[in-house]
Amino acid sequence: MTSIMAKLREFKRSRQPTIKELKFIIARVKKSPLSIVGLVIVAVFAGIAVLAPVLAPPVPPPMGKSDPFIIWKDLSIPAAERIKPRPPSPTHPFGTTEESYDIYYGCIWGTITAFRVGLMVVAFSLVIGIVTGCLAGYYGGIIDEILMRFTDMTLAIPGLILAMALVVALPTDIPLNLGFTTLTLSLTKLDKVLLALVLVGWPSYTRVIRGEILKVRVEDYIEAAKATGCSDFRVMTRHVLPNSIYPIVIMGSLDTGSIVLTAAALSFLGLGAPPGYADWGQLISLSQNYIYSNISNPASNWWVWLIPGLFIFTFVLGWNLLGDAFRDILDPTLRRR
Amino acid sequence: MSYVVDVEDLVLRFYTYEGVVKALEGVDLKVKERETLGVVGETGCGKTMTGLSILVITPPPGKIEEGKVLYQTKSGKDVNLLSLNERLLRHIRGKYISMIFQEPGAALNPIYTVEHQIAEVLLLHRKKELLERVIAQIEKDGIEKKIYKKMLENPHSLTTKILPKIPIVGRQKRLKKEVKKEVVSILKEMEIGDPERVAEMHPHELSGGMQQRVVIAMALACNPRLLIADEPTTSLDVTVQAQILDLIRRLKEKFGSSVLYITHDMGVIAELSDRVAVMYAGNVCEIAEVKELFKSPFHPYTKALLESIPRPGEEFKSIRGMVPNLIEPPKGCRFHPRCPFAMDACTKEIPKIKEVKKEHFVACYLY
Repeated sequence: MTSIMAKLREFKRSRQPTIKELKFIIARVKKSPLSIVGLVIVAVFAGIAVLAPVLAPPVPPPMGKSDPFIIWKDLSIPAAERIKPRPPSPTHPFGTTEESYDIYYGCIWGTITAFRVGLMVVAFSLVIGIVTGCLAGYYGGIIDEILMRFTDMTLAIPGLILAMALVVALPTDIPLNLGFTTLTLSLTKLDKVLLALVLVGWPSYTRVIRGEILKVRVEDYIEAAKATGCSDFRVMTRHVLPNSIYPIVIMGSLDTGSIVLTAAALSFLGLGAPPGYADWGQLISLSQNYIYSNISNPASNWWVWLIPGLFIFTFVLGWNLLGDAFRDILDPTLRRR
Repeated sequence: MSYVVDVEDLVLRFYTYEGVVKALEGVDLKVKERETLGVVGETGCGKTMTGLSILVITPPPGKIEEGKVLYQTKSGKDVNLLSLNERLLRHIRGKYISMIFQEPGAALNPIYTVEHQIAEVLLLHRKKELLERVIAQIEKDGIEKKIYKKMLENPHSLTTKILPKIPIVGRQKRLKKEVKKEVVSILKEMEIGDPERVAEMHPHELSGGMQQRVVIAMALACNPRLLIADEPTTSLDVTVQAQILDLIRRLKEKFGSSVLYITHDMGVIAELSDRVAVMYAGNVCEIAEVKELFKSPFHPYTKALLESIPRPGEEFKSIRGMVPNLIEPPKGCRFHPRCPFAMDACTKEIPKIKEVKKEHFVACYLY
């Protein structure tokens, strides 16, 4: 018994730096209640995404589709009345859209779509941004010049417009010639949105990380690392990057929310997910004609825009607050003094 | 006498927007085995750049244009460091020639613990030795011993680098323990009171003196043959300064390293060095033994420099004129516009450094 206790103590002692770090993170987060709110919001959404099949079980055909991401249509409503959105009722807790799509189902499964779009776009943009930013910042010269002018070009065009153009222009099948064989990369409509947002999003990361690297590169400890015999790659990955990555991690968290917003805008314009796909922007778009149909009572069909809108709003808010939390935890300039 | 590093006619230029900065113009100096060579001069005269050039690290847009940096191996072979490739240079940096920087706080990476930073140097240059020690510890001829033996065959291959990253399988507990033991013993060597605790700290949790001890620990982790100390005590207060100087002197004796001590403090030079090189505007103007230099300086700049040391009760003297602009330095001897003994010859060509007295070199037309 005592030996186990001794081992446990030994383990605890060996993990001392990690425990210290964790305590510090918790202390910091506790100080800003808003970051806890952000954490809770994102956690709740993550819970919804994981529990989607339980919260909103897929409806079997003919009302639903074999793909659970396609929102089911209530075909029990007489065909003539399906065109008009219906207010919340026991069968449709959040009401229905035009053409009788169930809003509750769309909102729940749309959470998965939101996470997928947000996280994937940010992850890919981060990877591209970090690689190009490192190349530009560390090596400078002609590489820097070419990459930076390219980012300038991309940043000169309004993001949403460029993303729209890309979604329209991207082919559905991209043949990849590998020499010995040709692979065909098939893109769904959602993939196209993802790809377009990555292509629009990475230059801002490149710029920020390049700036940070230019700042860190001239620090004494980088010269010291070179003087101890570290290779370029080692200096870059072990010394420069860890000291310059914080701003873009925070940026990535903030962007996860705003990318969902852009994706919703694209969906609303009919360029995003295919019709009927569980996506918050799509849900609002489905009853476009009823958002403002009754002049005397503009809020008459409130549920068609308010409920999916609230989902989008809270999701974006959650990520923004979480971004602040990340800054509190990670930013070395704000660290314990 | 055998030497460690011999710098010959080193020319370093910076290609900036304003023009070409002629930072070093024919620097000539020799660091002998087991000696401390002090390098003095004003700010911007090229002391630090000389130090960095020996390690062949030139901050961009700097370029070494001419000259040689000869390193003599223990077996007496001369190697020109400037002609080596990056791979071989990395092998020399930190292991045979290492450097201490001016600002200890800035020379340590803020996000890593002290242990991590010293361990990095150890694993870069002394992995083989550490692995051998680990293998000697293992009694059983089991799979663990096999893995370590495999690692010893090629300590810097990709697999040995990636293996420790795999959780559970690649724990390498023994190697980590050995590294930690070595780090703690090095820290103890630096007269740090509580090495186990300090090893786990981040640089910002340490005082300036402690930080400098850690930097020195990193530099001496592999018993280098030459230690380049770039004003290591400038940013410390006087009592700590004395401690650090004592430490450097003691460690130098113990490890048998040579030291190239860069400073602008004549007091420190008198205290620590065996020989002194005086630099002015990218040139070495005088090299002599420390007593000889203080007693009978030859070069007018050295004379002026020694006179300008403040003494109690005396009026403060300064050298007339200004430090020259290195983009358009004066033609000939770079000190001639400020020199009271300037002649016609001084304005035409840079004087070569020559032995005027035994072991006393001066670059001046007066001698």
